[in-house]
Amino acid sequence: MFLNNLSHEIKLLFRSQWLLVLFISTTLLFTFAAFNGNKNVEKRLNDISKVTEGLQVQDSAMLSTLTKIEKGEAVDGPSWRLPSDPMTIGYRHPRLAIMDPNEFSFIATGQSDMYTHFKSPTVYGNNFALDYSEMINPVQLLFGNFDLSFVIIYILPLLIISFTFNILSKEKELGTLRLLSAQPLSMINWLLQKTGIRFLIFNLISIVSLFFVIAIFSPNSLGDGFSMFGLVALLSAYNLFWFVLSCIINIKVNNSAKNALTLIGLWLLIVLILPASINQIGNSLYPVPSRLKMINEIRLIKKENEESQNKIMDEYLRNHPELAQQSDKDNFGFWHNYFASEKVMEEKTKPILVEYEGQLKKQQDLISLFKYLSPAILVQQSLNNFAGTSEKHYNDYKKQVFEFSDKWRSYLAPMLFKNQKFTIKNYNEMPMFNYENRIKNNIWLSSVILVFTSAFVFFLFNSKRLKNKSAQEFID
Amino acid sequence: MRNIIFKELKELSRDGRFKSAVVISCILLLLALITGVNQYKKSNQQLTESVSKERTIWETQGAKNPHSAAHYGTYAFKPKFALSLLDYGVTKYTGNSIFLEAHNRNEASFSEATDQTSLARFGTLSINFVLIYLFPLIIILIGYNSYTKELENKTLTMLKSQGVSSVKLILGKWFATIIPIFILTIFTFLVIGVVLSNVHDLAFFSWSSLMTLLASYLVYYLIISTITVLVSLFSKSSGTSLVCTLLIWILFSFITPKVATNFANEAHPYPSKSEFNAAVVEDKKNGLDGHNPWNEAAQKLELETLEEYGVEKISELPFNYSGYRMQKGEEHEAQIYKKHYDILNEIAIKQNKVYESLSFLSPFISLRFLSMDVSNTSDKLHWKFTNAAEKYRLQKQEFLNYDIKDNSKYGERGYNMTEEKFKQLPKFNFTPPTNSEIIKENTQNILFLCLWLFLPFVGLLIFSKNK
Repeated sequence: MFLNNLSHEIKLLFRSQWLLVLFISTTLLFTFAAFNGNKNVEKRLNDISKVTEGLQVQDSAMLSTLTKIEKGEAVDGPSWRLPSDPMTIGYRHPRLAIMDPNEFSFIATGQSDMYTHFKSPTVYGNNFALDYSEMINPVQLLFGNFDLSFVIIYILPLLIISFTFNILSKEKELGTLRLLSAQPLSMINWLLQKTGIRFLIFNLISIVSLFFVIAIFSPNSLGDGFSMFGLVALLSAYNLFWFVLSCIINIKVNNSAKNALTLIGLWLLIVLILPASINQIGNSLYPVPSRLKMINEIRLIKKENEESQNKIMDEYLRNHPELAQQSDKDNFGFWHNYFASEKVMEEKTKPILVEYEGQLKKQQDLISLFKYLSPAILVQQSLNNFAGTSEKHYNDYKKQVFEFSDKWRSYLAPMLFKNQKFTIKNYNEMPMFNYENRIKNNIWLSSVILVFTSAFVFFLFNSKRLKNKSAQEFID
Repeated sequence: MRNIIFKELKELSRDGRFKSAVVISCILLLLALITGVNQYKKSNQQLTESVSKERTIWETQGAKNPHSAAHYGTYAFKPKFALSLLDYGVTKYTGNSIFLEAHNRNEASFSEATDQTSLARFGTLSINFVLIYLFPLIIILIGYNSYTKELENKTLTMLKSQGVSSVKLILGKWFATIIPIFILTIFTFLVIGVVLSNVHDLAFFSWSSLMTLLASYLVYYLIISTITVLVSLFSKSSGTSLVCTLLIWILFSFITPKVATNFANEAHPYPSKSEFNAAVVEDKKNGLDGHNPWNEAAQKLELETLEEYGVEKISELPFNYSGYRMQKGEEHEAQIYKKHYDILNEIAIKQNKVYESLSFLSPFISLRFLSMDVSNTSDKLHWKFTNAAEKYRLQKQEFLNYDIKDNSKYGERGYNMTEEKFKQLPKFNFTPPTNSEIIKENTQNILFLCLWLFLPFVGLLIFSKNK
């Protein structure tokens, strides 16, 4: 029966040109979305290459001065600005901490349009309180991007709905259901097979489109079998969820217009209303800790500690360390005092920031628990995770930059205190930043959850029907 | 025609789907209103507290050198506007406080969105969310089969045999589609108006702005109703009509705005923050530096000042030149910042133009921009706020630098301004544009909305005649 059903279904679909329409529209949508996502990645890479080039130009000038110094040749410029002074390196030649996109970043823009992908932490200053937001027109953030993630989450379900909303009801409305039920076959099996066949076809089309765009925009990643399978699994699981919903509605409602309306209502609920409501209610119940309050607290601490800082170092010089450096005589003393005075402030303000970050993380963890309430949220978060553009990635990047700035300071500060000169050898061996993706990709887990959810929903609504092989209920 | 309208409305009142859609929308509206008012009250309270705390910190910093006070700086906070409760606009994506210090123009920091998870990118349940996304769907639900059902039920021939004119029939259907949504919308706005009038400490609330918003949404609903009935007129079956109108809704509300983002970004990209800062530093390096007297421009200023006062040495000037030079340096740096922020603003305007020009594909964009502007939650308002904050920063710098200029001696070390004097710095005040100014700024959006209403309506009249 299955083979009969399959050949019949394929014949029908071919003749109605549905397959062609579906294939063309999916491919076009995927290609356009991937093209847009790729443009965003290109801009990111372009920005990164601009700052890298800037640093290279600066570094080569610095290296040639260092070579001259090491050879004992005369160099231009005041001595306090020479790169042989480790603090000149720390202050004027900060290293770049770059967060490169991964192979799949074009799939989901995620949070990448909001944050910067490079930072240059200097040897002093509040490196733990750096601002990581990127310059962007807020209207762009409001409307969002037309990327693959959008197509998968919002548009694919609509295509599925239009592809499946009348599988059963059409037969009923055309009067062919009575003929079918006269055949020696179970109606429920017939319907499940028909839906299953459509699912396989639809899934195949979306997977082919996905491979097609990945082959165009990120051919290297095709070799990463594990990730590719993960992505295919997530896409298939999400497709499956919508097919299951459609199948249930086909059985329960069984009227083309009503089916379509109910399914659209479910689509609205799952991709639009639930996420927006969860976001609003979640933030009302567990509000993000107030930044304004944090600012006030830090300001108060700064005010209270000014005196102790002033004892260590004159306020004016604290505000303008680059001017204090101009005298060679007190260089050592200046920096020693500078670090000491900054340390006073850092020690006082850090607990507030750490507490704030802690509260924020707790709030974010709580909110992210809600992702299980809507498959759309789950898929969005998984795709962002997969593309390396989730908030977790950016939080971790911040952490990595802070760890690096600490490492870098620990490398340069002892040189200052031991009165050592910075040399080319130091340049080659000083710590460099290497972004590492430390966030676990939960794409398989999400796929499994989606499959289980689909199965649960299916059996919840269809358990009775599965036992009852009668065709009468479908016809009525 | 009156009979047609009554018949349609009676049918509608018996339609379960319509009733449940209205009930769901009302529940969501209520939820949005309650959570919105709560959040508004809470953040307004936080804001008031922060403003007063920050001012106290400023006023009680003790006797201090004015330039040190300038570095210590202060904050400018963006007020919460009454209608932001209705439409959150871009507020979530822009910071609400700007640190005002010497030498640097800072951007508004800590936007809500950077502290939230990516869930926030799905949108937030606000009153505007229901009005702009869900109410059009109710219209579609009412009107998608307005004409096709007569075809499907074979009642069209009956109607025609009774001599009902096609135009009257279609106009009746059109009225029947808009009347329920008009009643619902007007009721919603009345409730919002009453609630807002009773919220304590409401800043900048005006009924005229609320009425402008109401009018804009009603025009949008007229557009959607006209298109829905028009599509129904052309469709062979209710199913096709429903699919087509839903497609149009998705195209209007999701696809076009998102595609516009990509177009705008591609055509007019923003510089990265580091690129922007590098350009400012470059200009600062070559410009006048308040701290460096050997700089060319500063030297020129020195010569000019000496000449103006007819003296030979700075110490002979009737005021402390350091304070004067510092202020001139600050003004020069402010000009550099202005130049670069103007370039940035220009890019933002061009990007917004890309959105607005795509309004011919979607009236949603025009309404979205208009609604944000009237609610004072648009990026335009944010630019106005940042410019006002910068103006205030310069005023603050002048207050401090001129204190050095007028009250200390050249080369005097350890000069301090009294604590009492810090209190004399005027407070930061920001007033948003008036409703009529906003309407004037939005002529293009209003024009697009009117065109979107006019053309399909004419189409409806013409085609209904031929039916």
